Amino acid sequence: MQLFPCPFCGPRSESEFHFGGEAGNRRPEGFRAVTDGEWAAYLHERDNRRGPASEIWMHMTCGEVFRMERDTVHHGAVRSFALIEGGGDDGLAH
Amino acid sequence: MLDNSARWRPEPDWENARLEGRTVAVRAVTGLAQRLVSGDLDRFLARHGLGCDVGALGLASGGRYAVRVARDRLLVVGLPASECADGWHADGYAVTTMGSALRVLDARGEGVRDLLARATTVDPDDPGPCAALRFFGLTCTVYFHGDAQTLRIHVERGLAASLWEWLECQPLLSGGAGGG
Ligand SMILES: [Zn+2]
Repeated sequence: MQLFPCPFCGPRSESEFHFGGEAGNRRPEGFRAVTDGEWAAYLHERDNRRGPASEIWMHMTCGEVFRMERDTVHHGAVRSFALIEGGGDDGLAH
Repeated sequence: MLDNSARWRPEPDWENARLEGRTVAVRAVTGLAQRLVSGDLDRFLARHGLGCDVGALGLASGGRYAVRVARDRLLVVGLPASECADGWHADGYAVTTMGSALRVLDARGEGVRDLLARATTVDPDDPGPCAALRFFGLTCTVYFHGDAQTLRIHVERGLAASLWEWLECQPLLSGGAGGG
């Protein structure tokens, strides 16, 4: 069992969490002005970095959505940040 | 003709359901007023004189208390609708009656920590501020009530029979009178 840190609840089993995607992958704004290329990039193109990664996760039991810094090589969960406290990589929840 | 009625057992008779083990016993608690409060929790707690909320494996007492289930959400027990109506309140919180949504079980005895070890992954010596956790794989609200040997578990009503069957299968609780 691996422990992930929920910014509110503290350390909990990884099985209580759900992956929400790479942090900073913002939905393109502009409705009809958004090109199909931009939309496809938003849906499908990922950085998928080797090593330190910044990701959005949800703690299913409390409903908290947060950003977590995790390493994709050794899988260590380094730190988590509450979006409500400005913990997104640009201070926004997205 | 296909008859699915035999595939599942009927729900326990919750008023009389009991599981008795050597060190722990479980029964259902019925008739509790349960409310969900979301929003400005400090103002809600102050307004209704509820003091501090209870976190994971925290100790609640009496018939009126608040349990923390998320950063901005409480499960409040024993607060009647006559004192606080459902809906949005100008103080900055919303109240919803949850009495029918959740079943409540009490597990009592010196074996409750063994039951916790079996059902959860939470560290009993550092459980954290939030009482919503996975108990037998289900999202439940779990805390102590009255004393440190009485564990109270709120579970979604539709999943309560499944949790009860799991409890029946536990060596901790086998060998006693069935409740189904
Ligand atoms: Zn949490």
